Amino acid sequence: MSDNPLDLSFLDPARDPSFDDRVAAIVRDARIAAAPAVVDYLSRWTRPALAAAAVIAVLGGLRLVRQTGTPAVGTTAEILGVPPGLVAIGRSSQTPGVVDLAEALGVEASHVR
Amino acid sequence: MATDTPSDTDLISRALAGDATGFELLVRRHYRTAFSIALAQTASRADAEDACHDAFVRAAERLGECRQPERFAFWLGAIVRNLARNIATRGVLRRAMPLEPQAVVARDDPAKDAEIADLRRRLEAALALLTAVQREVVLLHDLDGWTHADIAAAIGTSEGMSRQHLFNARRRLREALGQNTSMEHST
Repeated sequence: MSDNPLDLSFLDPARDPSFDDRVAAIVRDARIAAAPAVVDYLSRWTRPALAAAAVIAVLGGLRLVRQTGTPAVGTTAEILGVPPGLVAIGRSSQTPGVVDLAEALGVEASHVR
Repeated sequence: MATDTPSDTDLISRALAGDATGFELLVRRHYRTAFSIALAQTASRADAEDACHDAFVRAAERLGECRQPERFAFWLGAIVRNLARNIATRGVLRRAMPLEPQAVVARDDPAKDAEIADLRRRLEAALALLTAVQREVVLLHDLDGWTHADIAAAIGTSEGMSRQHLFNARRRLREALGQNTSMEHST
């Protein structure tokens, strides 16, 4: 029995008259499918945006340090500007009177009364 | 010697850059391969064409994942094979129905059209008698001109087994087709 190749050219899709249409349909649909998605589009901006944010943060931080000099060292109350008298009252276990509060706030007692 | 024929790697680069013409050239170059693999799995021309369409579209979506562009045909072949198997599985019920003769687009010579349609129908019926592996080997070798080394790599077998599959496929096809000399290559 011969083992020569069979002529299968009748099956060749490229000889089909509709071959060009078939290829065109593939290319058309592939272009739609391969079009960049919104997520892909945004992801392209992620790295530059992060870099820009980092630069802005560094520049902003430098400016703050220059303006304020060495950061203040102290308690939270001191940093927040709470009068020392009020801090002492807060630490005390005794109930403060009106006069005590007025003194702590730097108000004349006569104005309170 | 310089050649004007762009390589698969060139065409993939062009397609990735959004060049539709580059992708079209890639489709035209590899359609016969894709069709051979798909027809082997589905044993149906219409299903094979659907599988090819879906496979090329999917390949376009994943083109950036093709790590070895010079082996695009193998990469595409794996996509086609998977899709065609799925289509073949879904098509079991449909194939239980009588096969419709393939529509042939009218040409200038109706007698020739009828002859080609008849040959094609008989050939497809004979191919349906083979196993999927035999179909893939004989189609890739005799229709698309693949070597046994490439076929073996594509279907995961040895060159010796590829030759064996080809021999068996041809023998069964000749038995099914009878002594139809019009399908013998004059070598």
